[in-house]
Amino acid sequence: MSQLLTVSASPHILGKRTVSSLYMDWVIAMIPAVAAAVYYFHAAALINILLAVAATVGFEWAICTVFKTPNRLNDLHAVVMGLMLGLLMPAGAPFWIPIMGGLFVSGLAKAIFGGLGAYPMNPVLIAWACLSISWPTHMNAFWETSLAAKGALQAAQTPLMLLKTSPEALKDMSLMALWCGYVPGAVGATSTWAILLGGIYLLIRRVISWHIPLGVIMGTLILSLFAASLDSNVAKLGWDTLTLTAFHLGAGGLMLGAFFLAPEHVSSPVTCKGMLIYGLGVGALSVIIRQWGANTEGVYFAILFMSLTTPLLDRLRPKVLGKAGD
Amino acid sequence: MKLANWFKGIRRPSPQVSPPIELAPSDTVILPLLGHYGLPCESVVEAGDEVKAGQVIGQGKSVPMELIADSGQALESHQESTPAMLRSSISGKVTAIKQIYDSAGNKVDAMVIQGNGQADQPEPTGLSAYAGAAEICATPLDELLAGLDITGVGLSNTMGPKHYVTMNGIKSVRGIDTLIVRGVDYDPPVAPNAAALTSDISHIQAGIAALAHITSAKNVIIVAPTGQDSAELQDMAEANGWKLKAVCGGHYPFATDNLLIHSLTCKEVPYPDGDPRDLGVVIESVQTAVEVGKALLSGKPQLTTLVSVTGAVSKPGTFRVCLGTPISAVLEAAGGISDNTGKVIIGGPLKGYAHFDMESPITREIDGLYVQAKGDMENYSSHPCIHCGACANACPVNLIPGELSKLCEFGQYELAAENDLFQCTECGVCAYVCPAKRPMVQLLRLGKAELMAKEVD
Repeated sequence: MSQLLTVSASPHILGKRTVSSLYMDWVIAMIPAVAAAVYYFHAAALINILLAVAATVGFEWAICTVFKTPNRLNDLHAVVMGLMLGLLMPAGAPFWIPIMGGLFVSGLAKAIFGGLGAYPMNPVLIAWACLSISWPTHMNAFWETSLAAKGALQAAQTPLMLLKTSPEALKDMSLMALWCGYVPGAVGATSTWAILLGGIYLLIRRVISWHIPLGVIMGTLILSLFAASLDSNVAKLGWDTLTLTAFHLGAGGLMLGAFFLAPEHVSSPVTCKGMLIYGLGVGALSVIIRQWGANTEGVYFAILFMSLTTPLLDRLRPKVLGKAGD
Repeated sequence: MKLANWFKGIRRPSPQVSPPIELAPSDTVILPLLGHYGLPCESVVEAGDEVKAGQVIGQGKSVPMELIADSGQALESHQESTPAMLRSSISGKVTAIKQIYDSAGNKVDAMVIQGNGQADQPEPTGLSAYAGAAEICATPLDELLAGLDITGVGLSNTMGPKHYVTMNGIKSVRGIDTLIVRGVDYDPPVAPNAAALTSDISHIQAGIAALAHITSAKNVIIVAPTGQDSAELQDMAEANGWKLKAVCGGHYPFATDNLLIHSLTCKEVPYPDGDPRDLGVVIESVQTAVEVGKALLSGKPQLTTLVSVTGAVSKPGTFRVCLGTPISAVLEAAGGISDNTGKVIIGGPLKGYAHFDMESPITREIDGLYVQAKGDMENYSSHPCIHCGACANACPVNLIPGELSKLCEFGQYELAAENDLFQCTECGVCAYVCPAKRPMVQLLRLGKAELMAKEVD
């Protein structure tokens, strides 16, 4: 009985979840979206996604090596960021676009701010913003999907572009086609049903909390109901108020934003109140930018903007239990 | 159970409960010379003396105490506790009075008694045995309390001095309306209370009746883990007009006193300096109730306590052991520890203290031992916080532990204190759910210690 025992402070047991397993869940959740992207856009999507992942991971490794910082590639964060970036690529982007995107994600958006846990905005969206401002033609090289095409895939305009430029073209598009992903768009953003599948997985595994997706959907709903009464196009198209809501919810990767981009852990708030307001803000700003802004991709800019409010929203705390004097 | 609490905390498997196993007195017992509330007491026997089980071997000073009674009921004769009496838990010979390590790792004087192998019943104390709950409730309060003092049952939650005893605050009369008897365990799988619920129903009934009489509480709530609210308990509760509540036994840390009071009565006990008695609530464990019941029904001093041993041992279970039994003897009864054992933790896996000296004695403060194998020991990492919010969602008192841990990591202690650092109960939930395996509790403790050190300067 003179055995030496370990003495340490409590707690003595820890949960099973690690950073790697957390990001592994993100990878699993993105499998349906990636599969749908490859099915709809064939090799173009696969090459874009693979290049984006390889570039993100590669540049992260290179940066860690050059700056002699410990690399944490095995936490899979770079893989998740690469996959998300790949999903935002248009099918017609040249091969160097996802590679540049990887550099932006790992270098500009992540390493400069201090790596995982320190960046203020979603690195994928920073990379996306850089790419679409620097090379708008390449980033708008959307294709029609294999389901809608007769023969080889042709370049086409997304529903959100049509809403801005020629709304009457939307008359031929059914909402069902929009939600099933028959419409042109970024490779991962069109397959709304596949994204929802992954999002539900994330919710069930409690990787993300339900507050942000709910907030985004509610924000979109409220603002699009408001927009429906102001937008003359709605009357021209013969849509009723809810059709515009369904259009906004299904189009342009709003679901990708609601379930994957906005709840990204580092750049979103942690308190329940904060998360709800953050989600509402993202949803509302998305519709505002889409309806009245110059840009067509409202969700991504809305998330970038709302990420800046995260430190502020984190101050919306619940009441602390057992605080004297309250 | 409040809906908001449903998603907080962590779900641990409900403990396997078996009735307590009586353990034969060990050869040697070590009794720290401490009386009520940890105040030292003087030994009244010397090395070499023969002592009998239940004989007084140490006597302490009286302490001013706070009595709880119906408003206006004066208890002049009982303004101070009867001097603390330390009793031998076995019959035998005093071999030495020496310094030992107690369960907290402090050096204290203790009396070592070598047993003579006879399982003697404790000596009668002149205290009459009560026949049942009705007779207990008919007894005047000071007589009942004096009797309990003699039997040595600790009622620190009901009668203990508050953290801030005023100079003249010998007695304050407060209206207690609720008595909560806690049959759930705060740190599963260590489950002495759940095991105590399987005790003789007459002991439980007498104990709770006595506690209700002492506190003059009108509402009595017995809290049992789901599945343990047996028909027997329900009948007892119904017959006496008490309430029986079943709560999830594995929902950590919602069985700790303050959180249990909050979820049952919606009253918020201020932390860290609050006392539930100020809100009219007394909470005692069912273990204490059983001790009180046994003492009153038998009229004999209580010389045993319940210890639950779980973890990496071959025969886990709850044992009724003599006070002063070395930890090693209790572990031996549970199958013993081997070279593969990494930690022996006093308390449970999330709130317990890893202990080093297996010869330390079992006292009433120890309710369980958790043995951890070397392979199961966890390592923390220096990974940065990834701001995932898991800790904020799980924190039972609504803190944002991730942010506090960052502030403490980088020395911003004052800012951490502004963000309610001192409301942290150190339950360890944040560390449990943290995917980055950050040493959350340790960092928050560092912050508290630094601030407290600054205050002293």
